[in-house]
Amino acid sequence: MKVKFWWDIRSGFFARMHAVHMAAENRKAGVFPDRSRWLPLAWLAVGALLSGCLGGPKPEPVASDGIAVLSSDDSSAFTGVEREIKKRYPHRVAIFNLNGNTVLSADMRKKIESPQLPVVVAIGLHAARAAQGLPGKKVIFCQVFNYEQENLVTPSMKGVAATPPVRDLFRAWKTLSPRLLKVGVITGGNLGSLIDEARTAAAAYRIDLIHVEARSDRETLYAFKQLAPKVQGLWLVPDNRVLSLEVIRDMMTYGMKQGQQMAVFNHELLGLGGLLSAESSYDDIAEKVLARVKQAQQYAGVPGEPVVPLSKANISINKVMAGRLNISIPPALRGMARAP
Amino acid sequence: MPRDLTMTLAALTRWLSCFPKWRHLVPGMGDQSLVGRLLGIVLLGAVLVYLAVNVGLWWTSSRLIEQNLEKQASGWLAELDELGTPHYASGGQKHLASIDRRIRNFPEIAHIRYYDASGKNVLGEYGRAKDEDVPSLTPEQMAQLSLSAGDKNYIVGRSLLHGTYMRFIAPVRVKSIRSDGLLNFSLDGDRAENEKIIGYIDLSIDFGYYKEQLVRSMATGSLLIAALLLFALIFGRRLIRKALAPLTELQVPLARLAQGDINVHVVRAKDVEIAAISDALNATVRALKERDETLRTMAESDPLTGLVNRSYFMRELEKEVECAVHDKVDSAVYFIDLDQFKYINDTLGHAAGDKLLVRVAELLKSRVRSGDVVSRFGGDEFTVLARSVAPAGAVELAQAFNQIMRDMRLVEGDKTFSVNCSIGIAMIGAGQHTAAEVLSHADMACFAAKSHGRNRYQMYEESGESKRTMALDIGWFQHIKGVIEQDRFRLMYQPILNVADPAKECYEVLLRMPGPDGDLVLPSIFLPVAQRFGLMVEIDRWVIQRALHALADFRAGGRDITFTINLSGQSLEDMSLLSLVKDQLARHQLPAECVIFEITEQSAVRYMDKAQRLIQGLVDLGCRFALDDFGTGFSSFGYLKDLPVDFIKIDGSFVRNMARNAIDETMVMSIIQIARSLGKQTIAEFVQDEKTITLLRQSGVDFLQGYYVGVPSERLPVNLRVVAGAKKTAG
Repeated sequence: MKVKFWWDIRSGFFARMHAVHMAAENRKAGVFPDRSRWLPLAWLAVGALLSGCLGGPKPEPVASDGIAVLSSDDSSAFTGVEREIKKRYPHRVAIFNLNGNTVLSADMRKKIESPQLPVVVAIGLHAARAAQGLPGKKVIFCQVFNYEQENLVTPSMKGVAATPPVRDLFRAWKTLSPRLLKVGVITGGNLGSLIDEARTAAAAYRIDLIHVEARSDRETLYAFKQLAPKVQGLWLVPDNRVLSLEVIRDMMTYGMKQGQQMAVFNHELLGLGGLLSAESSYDDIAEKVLARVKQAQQYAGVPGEPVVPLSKANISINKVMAGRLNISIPPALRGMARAP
Repeated sequence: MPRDLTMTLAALTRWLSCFPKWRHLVPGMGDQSLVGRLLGIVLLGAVLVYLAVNVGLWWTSSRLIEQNLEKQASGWLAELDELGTPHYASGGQKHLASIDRRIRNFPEIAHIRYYDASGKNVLGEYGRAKDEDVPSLTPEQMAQLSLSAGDKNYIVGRSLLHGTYMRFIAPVRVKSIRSDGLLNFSLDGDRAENEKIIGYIDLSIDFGYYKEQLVRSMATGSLLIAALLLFALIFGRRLIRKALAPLTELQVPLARLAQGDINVHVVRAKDVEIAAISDALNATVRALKERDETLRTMAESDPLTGLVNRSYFMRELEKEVECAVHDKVDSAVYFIDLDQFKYINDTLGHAAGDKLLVRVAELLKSRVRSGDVVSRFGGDEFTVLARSVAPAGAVELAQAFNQIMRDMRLVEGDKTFSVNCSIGIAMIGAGQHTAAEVLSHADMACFAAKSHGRNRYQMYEESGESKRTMALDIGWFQHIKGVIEQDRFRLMYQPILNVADPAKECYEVLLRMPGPDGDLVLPSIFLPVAQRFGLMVEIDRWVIQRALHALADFRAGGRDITFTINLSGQSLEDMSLLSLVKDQLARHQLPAECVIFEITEQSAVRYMDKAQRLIQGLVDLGCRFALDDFGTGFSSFGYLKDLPVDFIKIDGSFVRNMARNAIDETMVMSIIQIARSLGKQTIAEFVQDEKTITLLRQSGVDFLQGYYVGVPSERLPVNLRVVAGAKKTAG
């Protein structure tokens, strides 16, 4: 109990320290820390104290501290997270890779099903699906965008958001373009929580978020062309179901020609006319994953919300596009400006 | 029909006429012209090029249109793919009107159809032909499209609508990035995307629309090219005509030349090539003129005296007779025969005779007017045509002729001769007699003048004895003409015995004429008339043809036969006889040695200057000559030196009585001896008894002829009566 408490204290301390560190980073980058970011941390600390003093979910004895990290493939988005987890986690980390397969091999399954690895971290959708069927395992998934459609969330399986904090994106966007009032977003189905979060975040900056659901890439393009006259900007979310490279290019081209401000999910898209991009960082993901691992190790199932949001976003601004759109980059954001 | 079009068609017709195969299709076309042929070749080439250009343009344009159409269709498919998205997006149907608006300005788009993923359900149809029955997609097409990818993401086919549509079918695809793909997003990534066909676009483009446009453009272009071609041809025609003008200008003089008109002159062209032709033509014309003049002179004149000859005189006489019919003006014909010519010829020689003839010709010429005609009619005979002269004037002129002859003195060496002449005058009345009759009148009058003592003139009188004689002659003349035309002359063959070799048969060909009553008439009756009326040449030609034909038949039986054929004095002047004999010998494949021509001593002397050429020509062929009636002339031996004769036929008057008359015997002996000394063989005719034969044999005669040897017969005798005797005697 004491250990648990201290672990919580330490986690809170680390979270706090991380927040302080990020704030310092932001200050260095010229971004003032948002007060709202301190609030969850404060509440987390308070919650931790309360939970330690007043009780809460009953802690379970931990069979082992070892974790299995299962990646969908060896792409950088997964190996980067994997590397950060391994770097941060002090105990045994067994690394597994599906190498593009969708199911576990028998050997891999046998190893993962070892009692020494009670918690499995699944990186990527395929890995999450594969881990979903592992009996008696607690699974923390990450780098999965449309987890709701896949019904990945169960009491023993929770995740970490794949997208950076939407609030950060809208804050930076509003700061960059104060006249921005209407933003459109086109996604596939079953992304209600993300859209709700985004709508709330947008509203906080007096931005009206118009959401359109599409079923295919051609619908996305069509919807974008229908939507374009009604909005000033488009938030392009990484929903692979309704996007194809061709449509992304067409949308970017069309948006640029129409003078649309495009917020994109990858800094490479700045080269196609994106105004700003918001990306998550591997360490942030790893940190959130390990926090959940710890929770999973201490309690039955995986406690907490289905998916925990990330805490920071790497914002980049295309100063060329900003100049073309007659947007002057405020001093606070100049550190993020770049010419793709 | 517009005038221009008519002219164009006429020009085209002319050009078409240049093609030999088409000529029969174009009535009224003359011979080909060089200009026409050149233009024809140019036109043919131009038409071929025109057709090739049009076909090439059509083929190339069609291919280009098809290729462009395909490219265009590819663009259309891409655009329709986007425009048709509402069909595959929920709630987007209201935006489909944009398709109609978009294709409104593209009439070549016949129809557009959107299918769902099954290819069976039509989601939307557009285009002007959308109501037509378009076949649905087949599973094969869909299978093919599911495999298609890359640049050509469609299939092409001819639509069954009208056959002029091109049908393009393309799939409507959706793509999505692979799960987790966006977390590792890279613009340069080659990660495969999920792909799915959610429908099909069926596009038909009216190829006929383009074809119609193409046809219009090509028709316009073709017309333009044709017009340019026509212009080029017309211009080319003018150029060719201009270039060939010097050549075509030669047509008229050449045509005149071809028709015998040599009074043409070709203007020298500037072009070197054509100038050479002009020069050659002018040179040819000059040569023709010179030759023509020479020939004319030769044909119409007597080379010795320079006077016109018999044929020319006869033509002039015929003209005058015709004129007399119209003009009613009298003219006179004189027949002049020198009385002492033979004597001078015999005593002073041939050259003196010629000199006399030339002198007489000059005198006669000096006494007539320029329009009158003086001819050397033959031998020592002269004829004169005095135009527009009354009988009294004609008599005066005859007297003048007599006078100048009497006054003329011919000096030859130390001898001086005077010459007299007998003149017969015949007046040319209005349509009374033909030219031949008039000449015959003059001849008879001349004969009468001679009969009355020579050196005088005699006017032919259309009364009394002359008239009766004339009527008789004319009757014979017409009868002879009829016999010639009806081919009724008959040939008889009298044997000539070869004393040395009786087996060698020789026959004299004798002419017999059936009289008006059917009996055969002797030559002494009809030949003078024939001679007087100028029929001897014709009769001689008939005899030669028939005799050689018969000789060929006889020799075909294996007998070695030789014929002797008589030639008249008139025929000796006819050089065409040479070619006749040559042709007949060749035709019947006869050796020339088996033909001996007999000419009388008098004919030879009288026509000496002309006879020599013909005789020499026949001798050159291989024929031989016999001098007939030898011994009757004044200086017969003299001619043996000049004439290339092989045989001497001793006149029958000497042979007939030699058995009873010592002088005749001596004469015959002398002739035989002299002939032998000159290397010539002798023939004794009129052999009538055995004694004569004996004498002749003793004298060394070579051949015997006479009734005692054999009578004339139309069939050749099988055996000669004297053959055995001759052999016996010889033996």
